[in-house]
Amino acid sequence: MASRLNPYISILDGRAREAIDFYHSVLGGETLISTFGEAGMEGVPADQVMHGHLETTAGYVLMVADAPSEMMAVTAGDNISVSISGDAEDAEALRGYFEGLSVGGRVNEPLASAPWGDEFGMLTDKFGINWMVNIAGPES
Amino acid sequence: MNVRLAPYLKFADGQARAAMEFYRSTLGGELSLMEFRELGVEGAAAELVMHGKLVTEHGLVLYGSDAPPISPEVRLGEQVMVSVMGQDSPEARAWFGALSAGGEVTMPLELQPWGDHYGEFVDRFGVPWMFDLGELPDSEPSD
Repeated sequence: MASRLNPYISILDGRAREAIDFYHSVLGGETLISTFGEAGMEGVPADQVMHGHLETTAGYVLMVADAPSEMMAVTAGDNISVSISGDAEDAEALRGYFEGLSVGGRVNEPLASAPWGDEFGMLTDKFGINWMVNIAGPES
Repeated sequence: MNVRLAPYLKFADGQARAAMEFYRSTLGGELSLMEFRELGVEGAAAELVMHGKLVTEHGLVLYGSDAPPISPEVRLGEQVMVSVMGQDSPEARAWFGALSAGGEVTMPLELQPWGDHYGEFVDRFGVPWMFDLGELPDSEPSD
């Protein structure tokens, strides 16, 4: 059975397209956007993103959409973060992701050596989304 | 590149172990848990989950941990949800039923205008999920 599991991010204030462009600029890859207007939905802003799909250069998938207030109420929380993890050989790219994603946002824990032997950091991006980056130590 | 992106869940009140075992019982696969004691934490907090990783039978990856003892608060929200998308099958529908048991189904799994079966729920641990079952999304997206 082919299936995938990934984080799905709702962006507030009609900024999903801006967010997708931002994530794309940091993580690379290809984007696919469909709007409420294209789907023929009425009563919501036609140009807002109903479904955005980003397949990054590294091959993983992030989904991003608008959350029009006419349609839904979305609460920001911190119970789910987006985790990016990889091996030491990809450390340079992972550090770049951390730096890029934190622009305009807030670093909650700088990327640094962690007690479990890896390099780890946490940030909240400018859209309020929490990210974690973990770079495995060379020996693991 | 061998890099992975996945949702990371944070649980209040020491619920991480129960939650991650619940997900394993539903989705199958292998669960590994590290406790805070491995970082030298002592007392009741030593048994809390510092890092949990579930790799399901189908290779899906979900991380989860307890909130760290120094900042135990967790704000529940649904701005980031766990998305499961794939081919429709009795097994995938069973996941929806089992994971939502004891939680709240906010949108029943039903046929949608775009041709897939879609539904949403908040599970018993406060984690929001969405299911879209049909064909896989376009595997070769373009700008």
